[in-house]
Amino acid sequence: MRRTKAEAAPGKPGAAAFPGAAVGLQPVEHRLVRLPSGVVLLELNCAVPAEGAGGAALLVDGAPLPPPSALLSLSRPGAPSRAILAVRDSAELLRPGAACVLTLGGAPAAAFPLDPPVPAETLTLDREAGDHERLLRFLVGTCAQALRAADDPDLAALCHSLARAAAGEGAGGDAVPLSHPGARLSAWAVPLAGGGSGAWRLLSRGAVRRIAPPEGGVLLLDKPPVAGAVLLPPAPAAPLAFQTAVRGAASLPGLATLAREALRPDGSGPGAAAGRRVLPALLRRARTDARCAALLREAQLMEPARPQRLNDPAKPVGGALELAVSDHGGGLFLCGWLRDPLALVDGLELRGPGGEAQPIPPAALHRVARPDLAERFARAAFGGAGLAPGFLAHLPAADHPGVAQWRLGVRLLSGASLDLSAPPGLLPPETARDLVLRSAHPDALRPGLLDACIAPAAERLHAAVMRGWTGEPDAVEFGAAQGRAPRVSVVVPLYRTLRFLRFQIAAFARDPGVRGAADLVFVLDSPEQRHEVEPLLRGLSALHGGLGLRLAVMPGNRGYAAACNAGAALARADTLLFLNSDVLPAAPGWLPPLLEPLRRDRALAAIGPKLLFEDGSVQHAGMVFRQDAAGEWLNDHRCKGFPRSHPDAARGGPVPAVTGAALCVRRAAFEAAGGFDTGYVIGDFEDSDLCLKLRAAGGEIAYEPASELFHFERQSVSAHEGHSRTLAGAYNRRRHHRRWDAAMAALMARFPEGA
Amino acid sequence: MRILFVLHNHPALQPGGTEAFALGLFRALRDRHGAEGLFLAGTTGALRERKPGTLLQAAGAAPDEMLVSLDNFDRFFLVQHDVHGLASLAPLVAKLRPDVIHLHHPLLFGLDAIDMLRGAAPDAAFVATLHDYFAICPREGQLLTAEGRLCAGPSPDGCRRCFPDRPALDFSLRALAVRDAFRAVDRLVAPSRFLRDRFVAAGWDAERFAVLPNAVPAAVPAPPRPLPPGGRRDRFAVFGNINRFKGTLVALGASARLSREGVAHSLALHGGTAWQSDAFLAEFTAALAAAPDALHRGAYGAPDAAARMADADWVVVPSVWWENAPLVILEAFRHGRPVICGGVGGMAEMVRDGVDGLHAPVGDPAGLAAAMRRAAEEPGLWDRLSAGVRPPPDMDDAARAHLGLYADALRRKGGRAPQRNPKNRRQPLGNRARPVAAPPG
Repeated sequence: MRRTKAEAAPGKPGAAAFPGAAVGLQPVEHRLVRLPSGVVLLELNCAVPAEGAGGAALLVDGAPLPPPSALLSLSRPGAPSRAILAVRDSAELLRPGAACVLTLGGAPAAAFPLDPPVPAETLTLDREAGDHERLLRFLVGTCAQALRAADDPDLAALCHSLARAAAGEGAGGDAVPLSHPGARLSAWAVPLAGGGSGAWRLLSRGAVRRIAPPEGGVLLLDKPPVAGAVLLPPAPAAPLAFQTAVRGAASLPGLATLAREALRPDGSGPGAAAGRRVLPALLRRARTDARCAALLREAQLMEPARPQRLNDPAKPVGGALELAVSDHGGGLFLCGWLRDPLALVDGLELRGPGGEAQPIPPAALHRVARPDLAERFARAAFGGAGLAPGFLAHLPAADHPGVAQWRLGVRLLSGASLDLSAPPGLLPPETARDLVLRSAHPDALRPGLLDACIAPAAERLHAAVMRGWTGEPDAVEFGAAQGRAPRVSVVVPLYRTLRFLRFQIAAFARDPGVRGAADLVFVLDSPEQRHEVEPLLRGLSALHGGLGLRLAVMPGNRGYAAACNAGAALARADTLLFLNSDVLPAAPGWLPPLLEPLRRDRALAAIGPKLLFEDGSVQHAGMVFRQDAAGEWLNDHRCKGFPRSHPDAARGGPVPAVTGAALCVRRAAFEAAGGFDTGYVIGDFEDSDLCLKLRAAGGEIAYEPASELFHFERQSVSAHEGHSRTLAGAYNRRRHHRRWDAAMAALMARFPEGA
Repeated sequence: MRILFVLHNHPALQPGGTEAFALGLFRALRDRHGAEGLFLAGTTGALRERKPGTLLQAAGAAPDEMLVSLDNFDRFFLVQHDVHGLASLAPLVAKLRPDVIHLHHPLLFGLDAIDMLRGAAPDAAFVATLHDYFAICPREGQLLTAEGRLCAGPSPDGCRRCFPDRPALDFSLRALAVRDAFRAVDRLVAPSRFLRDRFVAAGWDAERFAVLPNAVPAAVPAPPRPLPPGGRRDRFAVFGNINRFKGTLVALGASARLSREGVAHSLALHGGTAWQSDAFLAEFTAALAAAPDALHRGAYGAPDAAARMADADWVVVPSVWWENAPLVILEAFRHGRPVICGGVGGMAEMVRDGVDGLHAPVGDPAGLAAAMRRAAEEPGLWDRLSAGVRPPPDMDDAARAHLGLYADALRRKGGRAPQRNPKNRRQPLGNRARPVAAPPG
């Protein structure tokens, strides 16, 4: 069989004439089938060489057929020679009576007027043994591709007829159901013998569909096979029929049941054996098929294996995999420990539910101290747990969409191995992120551990957390909206701590410099407090003579940056002032001095006021960046702890950055910078990050000592249990450092005595 | 001149003689002699909550007084465990560029702070005043044994008797560390010759010491108590905190004895009982009840001192330890009151027996009662001793004396004398020129 391009021999004089009549060539017996789509199959009862110097071509009314076309030669010794030419004849050149000339190797070989078309089924009749299958493979393979006819229902129907005829020839056998054949997902046992590599196809009356090949003799179908459907394995295997009518098929369990029983730790259940048979196919399919992945995950999560650990002090080896969680980005984060005082362990590997294992590269293991194990093994005969029995690892590509619970394989030198289940590892991204950020004590953090292990996992998980942020803030308005255009929109994010709210609103309401100029927007980032906050704001608005203020309730706890950005999106003024809820004016009149420099100096993008501790000590007089002994940049406040009237704190002007506790910024510059970065976990460094973005865009940042407010610092951040005693701070700091290292170095060279 | 004062406490948080004198001196130097700088006082969580993200906080409204949160202090070895915290103060000191660093106590800051201060301001004259014996006596710096006996100075056996649970090497370690750390100090100030001599006896070099007396603020002297016809000078007063070491119980015992002997008199106790143990307070209450002519008048502030002094004829200083240079004696002299005190140590050095006061045996109620009886009964004695009282130095005197010492220390360091009133030419932040390379020191 070979495909030929029907082309006229170039430059041949008289090619447009009807040469057959002139030369007196013999006609050829033929059958022509025309499908409604324009696909034409022309069967010629003559020998067409499979390979030849010039190949075969058909001239119709003196002109070569335009491509595309394909040719199948069914010639073989001892049988009548036939050839089938397939063309897409959209122009209907092959009409009855058209003058056809068959050329072979460029020379005319036969000439005939075209017969009228015959019904498609005719092609299944009068075939040599095996030719049904050859024609079928030609049609579903070469022909469907070359003529772009894979979706042609009439061609599919013809193929189906051919396949049934071929299957009836009896060489192939049957696909036997392993699970309920009528379910949406079903598994079938197919004969392994003779299956070559290549595409598997499912043929039904209406369609030819490529399907995923079987795995270990198990084929998965994602919809029940229609009656009479035929499976076409790659050559040389013969077509297979579906044995839907086998006895008991209707009472077979569904795939989900099989999977669950196979994964049940005790292996019980009538479907366990069949389940173990289908598991490899399911796992492979799960990589590309979300439904298979879901089925497998559910099977593991609904009946999870009990987590195991080997912590008998009398044994020479101990260990556990305490955390093997998906990073929601294709990787896994591992946390566990291994006690191996006699060096019996050859290596560790990660095992999924199907039993297949992937080694954990020793270089990926970051060993850490585990003081919690010390006591248990302190008097163990074979020795204690060692200085760093713990391990953490991030394996960036180890995750499998069908695995929800991993096991640790501990390979011993003997070749034997231990197998320890981890707890289920598929967790909501926020939960997983917080676990990753708690997996080591901040004191145990080394740069390598943070950069190679904690940070990549936390970053992917935080990205997944952000992907899950759907929904819009719900805004309500109280009191009278500001009559004239407000000069500034004051945005106050609220998170849990509400104790300062009454005082803050009262201070705003009593200060004509605020009341006449500001648009007040409170953004509640702990929406569970809405029942508390909304009535309070409504009441305070009424109490203060219809003070205009708005409340935006976030659809979930999204953190400081997202809450501020949401508030900024609601702002009505061209200047934004972000104020923490624990910031209270020291006296009325604090706002105009803060806004004035922005009005005066177009180069100024942002400005921050003087903030005071509750006893009047300076809390903020501008922010500076300092490098620690390791070269890591830290945020620090100028003059922190200094007396309120210290000359250094009384000096305004450019500063490297200002705190987000009270940050006044031009709205256009804020929006051009993309607002606060939500990529920091929980709330840290967004303010300096914004200032550095504003500076990168050419803006200046200043400090204004004439505007004084008290800041009861950290009252809200420390209320977030995710923040204290975790690596969130270190993660954020490192992220900030990597982004802005060079910028901060250049900036601080300009502010040599900034601290 | 730029000065940095460093000490363990601010008098506004907890009153004390050392703190009051240090702040008075600092303010006198600033307000009357053009010095400027920083008064840096340690504090602990018991007095001030630490601020997040910094060790510093304001002491009050003054722009040049700051507190440093210094918890985690080892009072035996004089070591501050917050080494990162100490190190974080260095840039502040360096930026201040003091001409003089004056350390008033090693408590809370600890010995390593001396190195930090020295390193942050290598050209400054470093002066330390030893207001008590902390540097040579781990027993709260009092040179008073666990049994309440006066101690002549540290010795291996003596110190072990006071600290039986400590190994002997601890005392050597402490003495070595203290002497070694204080080597960085250019001049040592002793407020009394007695104190200096104790340190010299303990192995410190006499050459570095200067004896500069303490001082109290100038004030209009309270007039002598008007005597009714035939009246006697028999009213006694004790000023200062009520505690065992200040000899409160000794004074009450003496008063009770005089009452039993039928000697008409009165004894007023002026001072609070803060920080005292319940056991001591019980003893105090019992002793007070047993002394019918004694009265506890309670704590007082500086503005009340003159009024309370006006009611008294004699000031009694019944301290049971050496004392150093008690401000209460200077206060008494400020108001022309003769002083009855123990005949030892810093007290005996300040009060001349039979000239401006009377000496009594230390810690001995009977001996003190005898001296008080003589004071109440001997005609003309009060007038003679009162006339013998010399006005004590005031803060301006102390400031001048210290400026002389500072200049001497700077001269000895070979540095240039600091300008008087060097007005700080500050430029806006960020525009300040920075030398390309530091000039060779």
